[in-house]
Amino acid sequence: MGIQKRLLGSYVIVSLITIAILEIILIAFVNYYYYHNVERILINQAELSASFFQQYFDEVDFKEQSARLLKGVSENSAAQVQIIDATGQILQDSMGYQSGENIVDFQDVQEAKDGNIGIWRGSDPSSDEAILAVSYPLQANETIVGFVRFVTSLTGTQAAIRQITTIFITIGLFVLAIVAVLSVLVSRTITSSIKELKLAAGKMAEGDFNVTIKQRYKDELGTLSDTLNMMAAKIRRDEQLKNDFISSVSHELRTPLTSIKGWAVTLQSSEGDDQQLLRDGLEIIETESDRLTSLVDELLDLSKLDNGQIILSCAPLAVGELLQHIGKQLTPRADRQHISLNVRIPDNLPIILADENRMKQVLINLIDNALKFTEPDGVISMYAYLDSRQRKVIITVEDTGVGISEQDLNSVFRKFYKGSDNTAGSGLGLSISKQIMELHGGELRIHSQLGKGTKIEMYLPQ
Amino acid sequence: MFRKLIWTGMILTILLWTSGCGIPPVPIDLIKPPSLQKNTELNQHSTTIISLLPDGSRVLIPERGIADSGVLFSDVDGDGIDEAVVVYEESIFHERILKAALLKQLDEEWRIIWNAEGFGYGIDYMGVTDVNSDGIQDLLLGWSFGAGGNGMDIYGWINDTLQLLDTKEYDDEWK
Repeated sequence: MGIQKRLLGSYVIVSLITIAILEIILIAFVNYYYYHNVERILINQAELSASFFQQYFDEVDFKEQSARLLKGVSENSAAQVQIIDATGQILQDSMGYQSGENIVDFQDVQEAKDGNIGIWRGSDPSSDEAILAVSYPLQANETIVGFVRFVTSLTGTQAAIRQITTIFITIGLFVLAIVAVLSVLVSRTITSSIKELKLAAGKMAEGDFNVTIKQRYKDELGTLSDTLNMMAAKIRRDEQLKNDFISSVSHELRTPLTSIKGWAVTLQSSEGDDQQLLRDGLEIIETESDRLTSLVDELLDLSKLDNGQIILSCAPLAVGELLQHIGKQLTPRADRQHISLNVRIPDNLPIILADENRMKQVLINLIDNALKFTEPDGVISMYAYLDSRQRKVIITVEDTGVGISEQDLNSVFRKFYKGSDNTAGSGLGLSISKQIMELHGGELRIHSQLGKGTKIEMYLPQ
Repeated sequence: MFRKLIWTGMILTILLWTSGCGIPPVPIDLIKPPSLQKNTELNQHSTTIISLLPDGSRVLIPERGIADSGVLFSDVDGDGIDEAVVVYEESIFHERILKAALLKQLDEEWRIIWNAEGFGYGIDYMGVTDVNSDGIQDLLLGWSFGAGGNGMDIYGWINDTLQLLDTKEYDDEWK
């Protein structure tokens, strides 16, 4: 079942229940109101007659007075009025018949015999018509001498209640119809955006990420369409990055290959005559092959990291010694570029559990980046300290290089991302470093200001 | 949740307070004259007296007798100053009750000093006569039971108030 049908159904059911409860209460109230009022009117009339009788007629013979009493009572009441003596025999009847009949068995007369107001609702024995009878004792000198009895047909009352009930139910159905129409309109506002989303998601599933979904309302569905749009944009961007990467990797692979090929051809044509040329050529072929190997190694690392195939071989590692070692290793290169490389290590550095080779890889990558983007006479500082509150060892590599612009800062950890197309490298270094740090249970944070320099912090758990 | 319950309770209380728990009155009980804006000059005493009756009361004018406006002025306590007698129908809890009231002018102000319940459908006769020959006018109130006849109440001034001396039924033929 579609969402629209479900919504429609729930709206209608909720309103149906509400209307039904309301109508049941109203109809019950109308029912009570009518019967109660009819009853009350009869009781009032009976009371009035009885009190008048008691006040003025009590000294006269009851049988003789009954005709007068009936005249007075029936003149002011539309109901059938009966005057009954103490034994239950009808003395007078406003309808003119049934005189002499004994009706002491009726419940209302029985109750009146006990001195109470007798009320009885039932059906007329002869015609089966619904009737309401009220009997009231007539007292003379504190003894009950007879009763006045009012009998009314309830047909009119029932018809009136039926009519009101019909009106209520008709109104209820009418309201329900309005609710149904309104809920169709309301549910359409929801389902139309869902349908649109479904259509767009279907297109995306087929590989078309150029669709954009229009956000109609700022609700959950609006957020969902925003998210889908963002996802499509990200996929488009990643696609673009991948294409860029393939072309740049091809380019990177091609440069050493061209060089190797060129030298191979040159050496072949020289036939080993020139020893100097041969040595130079073989040296270049060797360096270029190394470059190729490291590039392929990086690519392999990345694919292994992505597939979770890299397993760290963690061992106790003295961070200070590692930093000193790397400092020594890279100082010659820094000197060549006229950049000073400072290493500062406090004494209290603890021994941590880490994969030494991987840590070396990360550090070399970071310093390599720093060297790449720092002008001559710049400074690169590498230092470590213990944050005992966070229980972490923090290694920082800080340079005075060109820095990274704010919009690039969010992308530096993305694979294949390169600040500019001119720089050498695969754009994989930081991405790999970050993943290695995460494998160690640590993290990599980067702070940078364009033109001022970059600071990268490695957080390692103690 | 708790706050919601409190709100529901408050709304229910207000609804019950404004609508009342009882059965609403039937339309016939709701008909009454608009509240008087200013006294008519015609019969200021009568208007003042009528305005002293309980809210929703209706003054009954006897079919026979001497009080055309519904108010009978007569000296029933023998002090030489006229009192006023008025018969009215009072509506209490949807029930109509016939009543007679005696009003006396104390310090220029009318006050109800006596009240009695009546019987039947309405007032047939209202008048004064010295029935018991004590020199003070007695009050006669004839209540009507329609075709069933009438009932006469005779009230006399005894011990500084009106007391029922006798009741008597009478027919229309009575004069």
